[in-house]
Parts: sequence; structure tokens; C-alpha cells
Amino acid sequence: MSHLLWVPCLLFFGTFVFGAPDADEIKFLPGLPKQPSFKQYSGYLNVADNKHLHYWFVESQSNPAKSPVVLWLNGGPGCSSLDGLLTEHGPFLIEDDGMSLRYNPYSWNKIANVLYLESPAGVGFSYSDDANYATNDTEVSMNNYLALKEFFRLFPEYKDSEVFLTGESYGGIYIPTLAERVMEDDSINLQGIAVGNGMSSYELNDNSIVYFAYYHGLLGTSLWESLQAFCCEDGKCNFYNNPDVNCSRALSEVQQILYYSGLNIYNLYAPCPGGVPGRVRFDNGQLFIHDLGNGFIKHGLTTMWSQKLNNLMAWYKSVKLDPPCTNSTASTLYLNNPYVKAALHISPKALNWQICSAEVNLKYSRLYMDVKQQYLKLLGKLKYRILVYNGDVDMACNFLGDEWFVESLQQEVQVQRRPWIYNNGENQQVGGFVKEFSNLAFLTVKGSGHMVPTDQPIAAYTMFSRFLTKQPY
Amino acid sequence: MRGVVISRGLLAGLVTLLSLDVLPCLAVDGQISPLVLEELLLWVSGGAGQVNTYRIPLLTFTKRGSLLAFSEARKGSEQDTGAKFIALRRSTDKGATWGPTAFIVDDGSLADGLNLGSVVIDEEKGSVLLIYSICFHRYHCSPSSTMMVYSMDDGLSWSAPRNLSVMLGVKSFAPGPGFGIQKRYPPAVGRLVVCGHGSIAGDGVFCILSDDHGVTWKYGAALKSIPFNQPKQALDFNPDECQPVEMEDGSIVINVRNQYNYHCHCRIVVRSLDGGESLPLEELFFDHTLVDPAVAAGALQKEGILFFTNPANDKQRVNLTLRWSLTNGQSWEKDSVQIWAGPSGYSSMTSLKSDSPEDKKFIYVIYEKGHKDYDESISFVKVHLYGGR
Repeated sequence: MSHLLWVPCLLFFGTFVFGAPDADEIKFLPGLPKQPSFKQYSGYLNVADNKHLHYWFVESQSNPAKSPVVLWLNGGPGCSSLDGLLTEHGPFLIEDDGMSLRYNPYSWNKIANVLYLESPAGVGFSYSDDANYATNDTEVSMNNYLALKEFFRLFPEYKDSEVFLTGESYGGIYIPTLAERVMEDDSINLQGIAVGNGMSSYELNDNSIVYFAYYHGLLGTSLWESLQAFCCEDGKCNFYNNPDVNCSRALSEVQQILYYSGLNIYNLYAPCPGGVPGRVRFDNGQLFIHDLGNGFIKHGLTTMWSQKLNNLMAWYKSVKLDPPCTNSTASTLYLNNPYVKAALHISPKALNWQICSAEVNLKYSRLYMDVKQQYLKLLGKLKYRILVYNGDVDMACNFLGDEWFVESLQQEVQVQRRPWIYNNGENQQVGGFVKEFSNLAFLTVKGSGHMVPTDQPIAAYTMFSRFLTKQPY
Repeated sequence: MRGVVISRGLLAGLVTLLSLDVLPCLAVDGQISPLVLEELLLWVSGGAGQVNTYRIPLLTFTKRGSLLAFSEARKGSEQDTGAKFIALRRSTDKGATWGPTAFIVDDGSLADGLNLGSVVIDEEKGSVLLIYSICFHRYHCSPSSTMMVYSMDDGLSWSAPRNLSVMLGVKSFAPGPGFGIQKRYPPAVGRLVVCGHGSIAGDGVFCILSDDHGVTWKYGAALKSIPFNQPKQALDFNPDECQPVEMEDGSIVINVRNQYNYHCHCRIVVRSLDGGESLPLEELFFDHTLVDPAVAAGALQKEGILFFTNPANDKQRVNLTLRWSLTNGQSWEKDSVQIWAGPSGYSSMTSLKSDSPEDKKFIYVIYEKGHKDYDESISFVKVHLYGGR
């Protein structure tokens, strides 16, 4: 896998290769008990003249040349994929001390070369020269595509590798919109996409979460009766953009319970780290917000709230976006450690690392209300495999909404919904449920929240490897 | 030789009939002239559920007239061992359209997982019973188990697997592959008879019996291999995979794979006169007409006519052929129908027993079919017995 081998060859064809990726190789990563046996790289993919997207690439632990390349994107919008690396499925996970890392036996790079990309500019260590961090879905998918191209330019030995695009949460928008571009490019050997607890449709996400909440015991009968009376007609409910004022009022109560009562939105059955939070918090002159703004966006009070937040941005010297009930202290400490930054070749122009960028999030223009067309386009090619997986106790992008979304694609059922089984190291357990369509599977991970590999690492790894290697779930 | 002699006699009779110029009359009046009317691939290896290989097809009608097709969905390789699902597809319009695949049993990641199998319809209870084995080859596992799942709702939902080894012991027993029978004619009316075979050393045909609709089971007839419980070599007597059918005289005729080509490259046929309690050697013969490469074949008795399917070739699994006998298998009609010339493996048959003239016209075949290898797909065939007329 030596990149040196390529240099004479490329020079012969008159292509000039810059210092990367040898310059990007992580030679020594602080915090590890022992340096890894696989190679890893960290640096920047420069796109659109002035944007510098930070990547961290971990080669496969089993034959990188034969393993696929997997792109991973966390969501937000505005949140860093290094959260995926350090707390979900990376080769090593952050310890609470914010100093040390421990090896992850269920790392996705056991069988894949995984590219963690901080996107868009303004997220994590990614930056742009003009410091303009207002962006939108189209620009992001284009820049992600350009970053991927840039990656293959820097790592030409992977140009023929199978490629999978994967992501989580708002990655539900990022991944299919990126795939739509990649599928037009024959130089990239796209095989499929996987989306975990993805935002696939605002409407279905809003409509389903109300049912989810009621049937998980969160709402109570009188609120449910109000919702039924004011939001529903002939058994069909509109919790998404219902103009009825009484429906709106009932939905505010739902939102209050879901988002602000202290429940962990990312895992109903997990405690909220740090205890029951407020909606905003002021600390040391900084305003902390905890809402990524993905729920009930068409709802009057929500719109007013985000306008208010945008106005506040100007007043506070900085607004920090901490996802609710998420403790990012350890990752933040680690990644802002100067030795770590040096090891990762972080540019001095980069901002301090934060798990999510309030600026990117609040200035973000959401152009897609659903990604149905993108899925249909991918499926229409008859060659890409799609996995939509959901931890089934997440409330940010709940399983029911994504299940409805997948059903709405109206694909031919190949295998009826069934439990899928994995070995947890001791015995066989039900991992969740799966329904398979032609080139498309909807899969739940039982008892897992939003961050599936964090909550159910063995089940998640089993699912991932079956998806990648085309094994039955 | 027995079969051949009688077949000549019958042929002579037929020739006489034909010479009397009654052919048109016979054709209209029930001359068997099978025609493949429809064919549909139910499973393609590498298809539904990213399953590596679909093999070992079973087919049955339910009491309510639905068709159920089962197969082993081999997860990671084409081998007999390894982890599998039991795949099921269901048709409520006699095979015109089929529902999606359901995986009704999942053995997880066993090194020596499940193997099909025998499906039995209990007409008295309306139930569907599916008998299969786990750890048949004792590869990285022990002991073997004989398992059963059943459906009381026409194959829509299935019970949890039940281990019959508690009653039967842990002898390796691979049911079928094919269907088991419920005795309609005396002796032992109502009895469920499921026949299968043992492991290579302890091979032979063995039948398990239930006189209480599948609640309890016991071993019945056995036709043991020679030398029994000892390693085999070429040309040893080794009856293996088998398909029982009940004849109208109440006897059970079992058509058996002749694993090491003892006596001939052809089928072993053996008969039980006591409802599956015994398989006397006096009732055994080698059917030289049924040339066979050692494979699981299909057999079916419908209204006095015996049907047989196999890849009719003495060495290779090619040339899936349908034969029929008007003499309870004593002889076979000279004509036969080639269903598929190319690679073809295991097969099984069913038909619907009813008073409707429509149902008298058809038999249904399921078989392993391919262009290069016989395990490429599982194909369902609707055969019109009277030439499509």
C-alpha cells in the first residue's frame, strides 16, 4: 500500500502529487496505549477554492487493498464526524478523562477503510478562508463530492475500491444527496449507501414521533385525545404542518415533553448526561443551545424560536451548540489538545474543535424536505445496495418515520419483515427486525438509540459487516 | 428387471389400444400427456435476502388449497453445512402469483445449521408440519436434533421450533427431502409418516410416525445400509434420501436415492405394507427404468397414476424428466416429458386433491435449476396432465 510506489508512475504520466498523503500520515497519536498496526491519515481535502475540509482516514485492519472505502458523515447539520470516530465506530474510542483512547473491538475499520470527513466547512477543524459558514444542502453535497474526488486524488491506490457512503442523523440528507452526484461519476466505484437514524422526511419524522411518544408512554391519554381531536381526521393525522391552532397547542405540549422535559432525545431509556437541562444555558458569557432544529420545523412556535436564536447570535460573543444530553467534554478536551492537533496536522486557521457548530447549524438552509427522489434514483440503477437502519429507542429520527419512509418508496418486497439474529459473544440474540426489498433493507437495532454503534456495538458491527460483504442480515 | 418386463407387457397393451384407432378418444378421455404450462423461478441464488444459495425445494398444497414452497436459504456458501434460513413462499392462486419470501426459521450462525426437510399436511387438523434437522453432519456440534415447526393458519405464521429428539433420540436423521404423508387408507388411517435418511455411516431409510397429529413421534420402519454403521465404499448398499407416497391400496411406496450405485445407477424402491412400521426386503426392488445420478427425486400419486421426477442421467444432474406410471410403479410409460435439459438437481411434487375438474388437470413440480450449475435457482412448474386441453 505504499504511496511511494505510485509516485514514479504518476510522474511518468505527468501528474504532480503534492506532499499529501505522506505528510498527512499520523505517525504518533497521543493517548493510545500502543500505536496501531494499521495506517491512518489526517489532513485537509481542499475544495471550491477556499474550503478546507478536515478528514481522518483509518485504513482497514484487514487487507486495505481489498477492503472497501467507507465514507462516514455525522449529522447536525453542523456536527462533526469525529464524534462518530471517537464515540461510535472508530478504531479507538475516547475515555472519560479526555486524554486517553481505548481500542474498539467492534471498529468498522476491522473490515473497511473508513474516511471520517468533517463537513461542511465550519464544522470541527474544517474551515473556509472567507469564514463564511452559511451553506445549504446543495452546496454541501457538491463539496462533499469534491472532497471525495480529492480523497481519491490523494489516495490513488483506492481508486478502484468499492465505495460505500454512510452516515447518521442529518446524514440522512447528506448521504443520498451526495450519492446522487457520485452515481454520475464512473471513476468512483459506488456500491451502496447506509443511513443510520437518518432524517429522510421531515413530515414522516414529525408524524411518527407523536405516535412513538404516545405508545412509549410519554404523552398520557388527555393529550393524546386532544391530538386526535385537533390534528386528525378520518384516522389520518397531520402533526407536521397542521394549521389548526388547537393542534399546534397540543403539539407544543408534545415538544415540551420530548425535547425539554429532560428526556434523552437520542435514547429514551438512557439517562441524560449532566442531568435535566434547560433549553438554553448561559455560561461564562456564552450562550449554549441544545436543539439542532430538526423537529417540527413547520410548526409556528418552532419557527419563531429559531428566528429568535438567529437574532441572539449577533448579541452573544459566541453561541455554542451542544446536542441535548450529550457529553462531548472528553472529545473536546482531547481534540483541542495541542499535541493531538499537531499529530492530526490541524491547520492554525481552524477553529477550536466543538462537537457541533452553532453557526453552521443556525445559518443552514434546508433545501430538501425529503430524499425520496434520491433513493428512487439510486434504486432505479438496479445496482446500488441501500441500508436504512434505526436504533429503535431514538426519538430524534425515530424508527417509525424511517420505516414509513422506506415503505413510501413502494419497492417490491423480497423478504418479509423478520427478526435478525447476531451473536453477542455468548449466545444468539435478536438484533432487531429487518424487512428487505430489492436492493433495499430497512433494519432496526433493538434497544439502541440514535448512535447505534455506541449503544449496541456488537449488533451494529454485525449489521455493518453483513451489509458490506453482502451477507444475509 | 421386474419393472422392465411388466412395462413391456403394458406397452404391448397400449399398442393394441392404439391400433384400434381410439387415440383421439383416449386423448380427450384422459390420456396422460403432460405439458409444462407455466414455469416461474421462485428463488435465485444470491437474490432475495442476499442469500448465497437456495437449495432443497419442497412443495405442498395446504388443506385450504394454498401452495407452500420451502427451501434452504444457505447464508454464506453453497455447502450443506453452515448457517441457513428456512425460506417460504406462499401462493393462494395455485401458483399464478406468489407472496414475498418469509424466513420462518433462522439458525443464526451455526457451523452445521438446519437442513430440510419434510413437509406434512395433516388434513384432519388442517395443520402444516415441517420437519427438519439441525447439526445433521455433526460438524463442530453434537448431537443432531430432529426439529419441527408447524402452522395452524395455512402457512402464514409458524410455531417456535420444537426439538423432537427428546422423543426420537439424537440419531442423525435428515427428513425427506420432500413431503411426508398422512395415511388416507388403512392400515393406520390418520397416521403421519415422515421418511428420511441417516448419516453416511449409519445411513439407511428411516421413517418416523405420529398417531396423534404430530404431538408425539416414534421411529418406525428402517431399511439399513450395508455395512451398517461402518464406512462405505463404492457400490455398497446405501439407501439415502427418499420420497414416500401412499398408494390406493394403503401401502406406502418409498422411492429412494441409491447413494453408492448398488446394483445399478438407478432408484431403489421399497414398500411398507403396515403403515410405515417396516420395510421388508421382499418388498424392495431396483427400478432400472428410473436411471439416476444419486439425487433426491420427486414422487407423487394422483388418482391412481404415479409420477416421478429426477435428473434422468446415470452420472450427472442434468435433464430433469417427468415420468408417469399407470401400474403403481410396476412399469413406466414410454413417453416422458423433459422439463429442463440443463443442470437440474433435487425435485419435489404436489397436487391438489379435490373434486374440481380443474384440480384433476394439474400437478406441480419444484426443482433445482441452472444453466451452469443446478443450484442457481429454484423453479416452480405447473404441469397440465392432458396436453393443455
